[in-house]
Amino acid sequence: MPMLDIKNLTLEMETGGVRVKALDRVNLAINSGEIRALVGESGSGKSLIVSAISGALPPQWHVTADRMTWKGENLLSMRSEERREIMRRDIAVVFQNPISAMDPSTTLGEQLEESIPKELVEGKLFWQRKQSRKRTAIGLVHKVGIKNHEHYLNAFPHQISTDIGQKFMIAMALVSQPDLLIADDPTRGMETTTKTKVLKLLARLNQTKSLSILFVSHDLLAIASMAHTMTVLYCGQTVESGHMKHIRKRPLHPYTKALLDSAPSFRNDLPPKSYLPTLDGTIPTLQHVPIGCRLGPRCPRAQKQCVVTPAVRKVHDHTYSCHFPLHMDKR
Amino acid sequence: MSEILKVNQLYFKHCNKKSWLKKPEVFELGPIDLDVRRGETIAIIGENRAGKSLLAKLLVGALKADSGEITLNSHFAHHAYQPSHISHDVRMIFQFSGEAMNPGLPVGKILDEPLRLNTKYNEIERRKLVEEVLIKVGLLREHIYFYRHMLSDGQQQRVALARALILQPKILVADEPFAALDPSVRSQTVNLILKLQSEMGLAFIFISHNLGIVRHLADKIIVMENGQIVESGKTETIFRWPQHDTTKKLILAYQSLVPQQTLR
Repeated sequence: MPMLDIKNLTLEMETGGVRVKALDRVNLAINSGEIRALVGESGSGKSLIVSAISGALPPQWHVTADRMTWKGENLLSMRSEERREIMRRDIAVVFQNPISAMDPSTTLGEQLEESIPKELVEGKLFWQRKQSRKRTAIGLVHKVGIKNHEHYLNAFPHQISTDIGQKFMIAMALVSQPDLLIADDPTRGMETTTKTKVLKLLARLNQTKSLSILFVSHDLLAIASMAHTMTVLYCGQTVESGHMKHIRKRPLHPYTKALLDSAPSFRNDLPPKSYLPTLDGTIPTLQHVPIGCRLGPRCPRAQKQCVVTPAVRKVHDHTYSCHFPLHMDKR
Repeated sequence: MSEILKVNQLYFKHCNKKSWLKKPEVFELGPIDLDVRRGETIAIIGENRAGKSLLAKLLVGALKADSGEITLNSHFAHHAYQPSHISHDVRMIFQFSGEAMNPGLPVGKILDEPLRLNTKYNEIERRKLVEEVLIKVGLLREHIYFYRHMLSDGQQQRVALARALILQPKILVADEPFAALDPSVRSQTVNLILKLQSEMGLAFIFISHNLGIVRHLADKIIVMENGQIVESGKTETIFRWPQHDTTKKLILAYQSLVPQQTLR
């Protein structure tokens, strides 16, 4: 049974008197000990899914789902205290922009110590507890690969660089020893060496502590190096999901293929300076989403039937929603 | 192929003195030697704070170098003054193309401005040039009336490219042109730049962290560390046989991400 199980999650918001579906029947399941990648371009609703899971959405947006459970408990019908408890202890989120997600008025050390849950602090008397907190903080900071802890624990968020901030966010997320880590674009704007370090850290945590990770990104290179399974999102719809290996080898949805083609590193046979295959146009804005399959107008294989939303189809562990999938032409 | 830009012993020193008691933070760039040929693509890679963006700014003349010289088209463009033809022939695309545009001006005005300031064309001729360049980068004539917020990321990038191309430059300098773009828009931009390069014989100098794109696009690579060029050479040579430690680190980090065996 999956740890986090989401089926047909729909998020509606009202803009200018019209209700738009920002997320349209999204399916996502995370098993324990798994690294799942959530891939999609900006505007496809990746971050909305993260906020929907963490319950950080404004109340005027309508979230409906057939199923949204955490270890068998329904997240949507839960009282907000219970949900907060789950978010505190079991699920940790690393937000997109680390510097702005932190409190600008206190030092990093204070913020990190504040986020240590009470029951993990040793000692009875206040000075013992203070020392224990400090020890935990320093240990954590070392664990995520920051060596100069004296300097960084006393620094304010505006004084540090983005990659240090990102590592701090990971440290803060790991402090409560969660079962699931949701990392929202943790490697954006990093140079290759730092990126590899952060990815190695996440992969190591996954192996040693069997931490499940939901890795939200559009950096396919990073995803391919560590993720076990992958879910591809386009414009608020899940288009394909399955094992990384299968998707890489045989993408069924045209959009997945376009995404994989857009990374020249995946293809050794590509001559330098040749044109890359692309889809025309860009991702539509929320006010102008096409009906049916939202890829429709950009899709090279689109036909008349594509104005009807395709049903989710399943081949072994590989699910896709497309009327005319690649590699599966009707005989 | 002929050299169109020659950089000789370019040197820049940045001294950040916070208070008279503290030791000032000094950042030195260079001395740097560089040749750019016609139609050549050069990629600058390196870690953060290696002086990559600074070098780009020095090349376009947005900053003034302390010593050394930049020779453009065998004209003598000394560091001490910036003749107006440097802004004709060397143009820059900034990192966040959206933010680099004035939100209060329509695209037509944004593209008109460099023409008005640098050329002697009258209004009708300028308008014609603006329309031509918009079509060249794959936009429509109607986009003249569009404002920044009405365009998508990819279109903003195209406008930034149009603004750089409108003065018919010989060299294009871009600071992380692909970093903020989504994969499919990124491929479109790469294709567009390749097309324009083959049409106009542009030399293209760009900074990127994405080594996959660098490998695909660049003829020559420059690796920088602490304001120095530590290694430079042909793309394949650098990727196959990196010599300097920094280069090795970067290439190894990249190779460890790239899947070793390609699945067929």
